[in-house]
Amino acid sequence: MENVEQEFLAVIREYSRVIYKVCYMYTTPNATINDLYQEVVLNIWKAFPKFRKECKISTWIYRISLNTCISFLRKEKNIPEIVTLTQEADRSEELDETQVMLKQLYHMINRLGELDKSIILLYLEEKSYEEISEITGLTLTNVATKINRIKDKLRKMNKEE
Amino acid sequence: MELDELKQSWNKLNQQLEKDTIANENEIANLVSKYKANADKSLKRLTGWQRLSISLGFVGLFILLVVCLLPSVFHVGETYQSKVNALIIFFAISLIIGICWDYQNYVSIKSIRVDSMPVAEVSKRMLKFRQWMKYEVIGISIWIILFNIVNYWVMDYYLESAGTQALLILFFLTCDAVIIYFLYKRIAYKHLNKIKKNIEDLEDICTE
Repeated sequence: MENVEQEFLAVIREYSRVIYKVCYMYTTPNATINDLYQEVVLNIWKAFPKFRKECKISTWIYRISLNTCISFLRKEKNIPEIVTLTQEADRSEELDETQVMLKQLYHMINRLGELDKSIILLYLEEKSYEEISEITGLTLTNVATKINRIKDKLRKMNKEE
Repeated sequence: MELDELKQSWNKLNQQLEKDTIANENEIANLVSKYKANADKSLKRLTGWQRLSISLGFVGLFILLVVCLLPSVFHVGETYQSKVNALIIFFAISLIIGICWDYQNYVSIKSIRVDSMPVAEVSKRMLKFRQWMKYEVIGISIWIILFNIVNYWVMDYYLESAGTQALLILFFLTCDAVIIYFLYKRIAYKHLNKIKKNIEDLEDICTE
């Protein structure tokens, strides 16, 4: 058991940035980044013994993170907040160039629906169409079409602003 | 901001996250040990709301059953008995529909497997769940109106003078409107935009 826990912690260490970025993009007033991060970590732990290495571990981590954030429904605090993040990308008081860019990024991506948001997130993470297809369950043609449509949507949103 | 600019911002986010660790490893280990110690409890809490709602429904049905089985205790006289019976039937049907509805939601949420289901499938299920929440508000609104009609009949308000009836109807309609508006604002409204966006997302998609 000790071994499994060590392995799990190593995986979390390696993919903590990936998990953070997914949670960051799905943050809402009802679901803080801390809530989402903790829920994702817990879901990874619960599913960890069942991971059969049928797909790449990164694919598996993205799938769990995205699915947890999409299906996150909290009417009450299920579990107390144990994990406090040491980094909070959008909480800084100083609005330097990076903060402005991050706020714009969040604002734009947040105007997309949940599936589009996950596709664009994977695209920005430079995942191949095959990997995006594997994570989302869409066909390759659909992934390509979706990305083109999202590009159009973003262009349209840009004009509207 | 177009895709290229998004990419630049994304790289900035990556650079920022490179600077430091994200979360304390001891806290994560602590979270895991707390989960191991409380695995069963947290699962129960997770679905606690639906369980409570279904249980309350059964308690309500049980009370109605007691009222029906003990007519001598709850006997209200020949004139009103048929009206009380109608009210009991109305509540019983409402509770049964409510229990079935909650159970359906409970099963649907429990069936989501975040580790094995593709993201498109989870999105579809969550969209369906949010649409149900919208229908829930419509259903409750219809129930409130029906309840007022039944209540009006049971309480014999239709025997009052035209002026009193007009005032009563105005009062009930105002109460209904306030409750429905509150429900709509509180539950459905915040989901409407999300539902709309997600329907667009899921149009014409094929999964393998």
